[in-house]
Amino acid sequence: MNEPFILFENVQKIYRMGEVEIRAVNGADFTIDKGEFTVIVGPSGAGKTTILNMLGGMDQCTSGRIIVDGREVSKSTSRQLTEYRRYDIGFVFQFYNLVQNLTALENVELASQICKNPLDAAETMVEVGLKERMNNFPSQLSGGEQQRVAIARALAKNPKLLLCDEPTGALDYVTGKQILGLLQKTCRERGMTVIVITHNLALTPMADKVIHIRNGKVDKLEINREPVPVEQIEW
Amino acid sequence: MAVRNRLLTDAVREILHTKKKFFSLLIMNFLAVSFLAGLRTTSPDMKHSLDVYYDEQNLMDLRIVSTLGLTDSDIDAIRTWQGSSELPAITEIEGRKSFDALAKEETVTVFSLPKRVNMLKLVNGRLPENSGECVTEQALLDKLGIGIGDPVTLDTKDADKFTTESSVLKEHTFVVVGTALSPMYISKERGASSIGSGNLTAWVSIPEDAFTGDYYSALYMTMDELDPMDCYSDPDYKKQVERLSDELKTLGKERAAIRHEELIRDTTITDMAAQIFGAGLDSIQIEGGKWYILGRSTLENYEEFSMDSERMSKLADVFPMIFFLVAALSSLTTMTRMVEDHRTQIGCMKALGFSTAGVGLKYIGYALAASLFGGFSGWIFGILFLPFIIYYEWGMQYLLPPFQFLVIPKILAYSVGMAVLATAGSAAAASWSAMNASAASLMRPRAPKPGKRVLIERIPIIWKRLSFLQKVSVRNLFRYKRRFWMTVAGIGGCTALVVAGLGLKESIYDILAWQFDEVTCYDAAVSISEDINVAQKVNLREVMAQMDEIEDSVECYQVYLNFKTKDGKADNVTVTCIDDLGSLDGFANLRHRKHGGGVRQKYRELFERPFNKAPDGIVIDEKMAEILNVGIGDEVTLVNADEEEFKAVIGEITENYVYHYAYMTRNSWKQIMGEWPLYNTVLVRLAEGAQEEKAASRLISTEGVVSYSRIDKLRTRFENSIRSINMIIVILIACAALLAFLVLFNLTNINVTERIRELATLKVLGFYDGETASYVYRENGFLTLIGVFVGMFMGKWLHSWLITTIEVDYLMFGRSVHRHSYILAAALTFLFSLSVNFFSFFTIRKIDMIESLKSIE
Repeated sequence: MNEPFILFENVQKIYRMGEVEIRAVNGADFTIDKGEFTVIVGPSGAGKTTILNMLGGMDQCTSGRIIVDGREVSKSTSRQLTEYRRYDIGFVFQFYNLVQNLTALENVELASQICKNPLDAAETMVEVGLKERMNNFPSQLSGGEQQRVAIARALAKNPKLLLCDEPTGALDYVTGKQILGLLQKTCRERGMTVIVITHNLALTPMADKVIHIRNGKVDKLEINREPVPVEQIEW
Repeated sequence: MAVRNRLLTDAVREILHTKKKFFSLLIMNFLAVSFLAGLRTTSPDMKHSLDVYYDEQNLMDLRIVSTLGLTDSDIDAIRTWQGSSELPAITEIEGRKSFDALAKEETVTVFSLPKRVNMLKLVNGRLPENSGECVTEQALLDKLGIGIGDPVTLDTKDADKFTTESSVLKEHTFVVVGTALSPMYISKERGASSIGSGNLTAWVSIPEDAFTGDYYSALYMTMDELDPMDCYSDPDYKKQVERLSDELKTLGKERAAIRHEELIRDTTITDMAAQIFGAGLDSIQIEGGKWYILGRSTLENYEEFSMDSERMSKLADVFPMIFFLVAALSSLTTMTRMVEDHRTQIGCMKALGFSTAGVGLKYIGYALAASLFGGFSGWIFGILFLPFIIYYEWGMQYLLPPFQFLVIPKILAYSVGMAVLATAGSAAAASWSAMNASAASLMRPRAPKPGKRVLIERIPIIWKRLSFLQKVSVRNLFRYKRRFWMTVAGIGGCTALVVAGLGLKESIYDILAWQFDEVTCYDAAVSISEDINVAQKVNLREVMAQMDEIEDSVECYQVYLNFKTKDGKADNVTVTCIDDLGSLDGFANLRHRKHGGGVRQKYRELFERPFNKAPDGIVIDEKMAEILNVGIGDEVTLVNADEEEFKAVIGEITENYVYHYAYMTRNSWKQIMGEWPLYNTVLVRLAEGAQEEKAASRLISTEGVVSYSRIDKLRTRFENSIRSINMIIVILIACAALLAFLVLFNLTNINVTERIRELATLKVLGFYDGETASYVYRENGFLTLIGVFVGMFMGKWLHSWLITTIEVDYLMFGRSVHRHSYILAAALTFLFSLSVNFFSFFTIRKIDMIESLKSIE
């Protein structure tokens, strides 16, 4: 049997707060194929971010198996997880998390300098449409522009997997749409596997695969045979 | 029911919830205040302890000694004497019989048992009650290897000149019945004697009726109305005593003349008797007598004690200030951080309608509580323990009475006030901007500090050579300006303290070797009697030439004079006169100073030139020249023991570190004083490995020799007096280093917490822990480098300031810091910085990426 690119198998994440046990993720199962554009949706507190964090090697699962491109992430040591993040993962956050004291270009370089086969930082900046803003500091950029820098920073690492946690959460409608468009384009043109977290159900038509999370479990898994370009979606 | 003030509840809970932070602030204040209050109180405490002791033992305020001895009729004359009306009344006057004797090989002073003045303080056993008993010091019993109840034999030799009896004592063996302290002798040094090895080692007190003679060696007087004054610190005390002694001088002249006549009459009778019995007694020549009226300051080490204690006060002005600076710095960082953490809460409180003062009080109150609790407990600890420890550590070189505490409200107010000012003041400064911001802006998340290009980027030659991460570091350095300055100040301060401390130690210890191995190379000064005749002189020369112990010797005239100019004065200057200054080579090396650096501009040019050994005028030491503010060709006034003044011109300035010395040719002396000086001293350099005791005894027993003064005693005395300073320096360096360490730790932690988002981002991007840490370390390393560099200069400056602050008039410390001290200080600072960074590595490793990046606060 052909192994899926990403495998989540009965993954649990349990936080213990004194006497209380919080089951943030309670047995999640799903697979994602290479080059798929996946959207993870669900209400607040459903465990979306925890899943993404475990997938991104920022957090370890309590039990279950997580396999990414043949690597068993769930059994990695802290050092291996760092390596995994370094070479395989690109992260995009809601609040961009750019280093304030570096220019846009330098923020991208910061990431690319530690990778094995990074993309050219300046070219990546051109690709995300920031040719003219390369030498500006984050504080001189708009929110949308900052998020583009964050995406460029993730892309320049040439990762296997692009993980985005509410990438449009802090942006207005139009800008948010542009960012999603950029992510979708990246997926289509580069064959990049992209996973986006959102609580906005209206976005689901743009994905190849939609994973609905509820109470720490996969509630429903949809596959769109014909995903819609984000420009055609209104919400 | 009244509603409790919940602002107060919040403030108290804040303290309870941040115990660590609170206590670290409290400890800083505790340390600073205990050092300040403790060191400040030490000198008054020390002086007070002695003053109480002096009053209890009824120590004399004035004593009269005469070249011809004193009698009961002198006492009566003083009792009936009328001075001017406002003089303090003489309450007690007591005569004391005394002479020097040998107890085995130890030279001791024997004096009649005090009755009302200079009372002995019993330590063990009892005071003599019957004849044949004596009381002495523990030191003598130790040296002789005997105890209370054992007999001691006093060999009086030729101790007496003015009695016709065969001996000054009726009996010579006494049973030791007790040991005691005498307020006359707080020093373990006892000065010179004309018998034995020439050095007194102890005293022995016996009942007065054991003496055969009817005259006294000294009269002791007390004035009860001066007792309430502190004899060390109350300037009125000295003034009153001086006035009395001035007026007594007239009486002294009369009485000395009467005594002279009496003695001539007695001697004539004796001579006649001698002729009758055919005893070959030498006819005794009696010169005119003179009274010396002396105050307490002529007691051995009386003044040194006070000067030593004042040096302690001077230290108190320097070091604690650094502690307060550090306390202020940590208060500033702690409170800035706390206010930053509470931004939203402060905004919320303001929005609820609390006043700025009400909200701000929590933060100022927090610091105030820490400084008051820390300050008060520090004050109690400081004044209880520091003076006590110093007093007894110091006491090793003195014979001191029990310690007496003083509570000085001024010092309490001053030291705790400083703590409050430093800590609460910084807290107010730290919270000022937040308190005055509007509620709305406080509740908005604080915008991250924008990035900026730095100047260095415009210099492509440098900028292009930097690696990517180096560029980031450079920019970050300039981005957080406050952190930059605080770290540089903290690290610089640490380096500076260590440089100054090590430098101070060297400056003090170096001069020992410079002075006693290079400048004054002679081992002893042998004083010759003024009455020595030619035959005795020739004999003495022969004796010295034959002695294997003596390598070389030179004859000269030595006298103590006081020097003064309108700018200053130097007392007790040893003036040496000799035909040719060149012949002092190898005994007292006259030369320009090359050691220690820091030559005054005024002498710089002079010191470039070779030393002129045949100058026009007198040679004085460099420190004296500084005090008197004179250069070559300037005039100084010389004052002799009879207070006659002479003018002299400075001809050269010589290297010297301990005490004051002046040198001149006999010709110059003739020109200045009007008479030729007679040789009265032989400076002696001993052969390698010579037994000094043996040489001293041999010389003392040679006719014409008055005393033998050992230079190594001087060295030991000096060493003792600086040893305790050394201890304090070590303690202070250790504490300062500890505090610097805390500040660094604090700063590094803040550095990490302030940038936790940035560091978490790096971790998410896949930076290894080491790489993430090095991102911070590179900056810390660079800041440390800058701090150390700045600290070197600060240290050099601090050192020279310290030297000039604690240097006393009769000492010249080294003025520069050795290169190896700079290196050691830098290395220590790097070590501190490294270990702090090592600890912060764990903090960085523990950064939780998910929590830190969740949202903006």
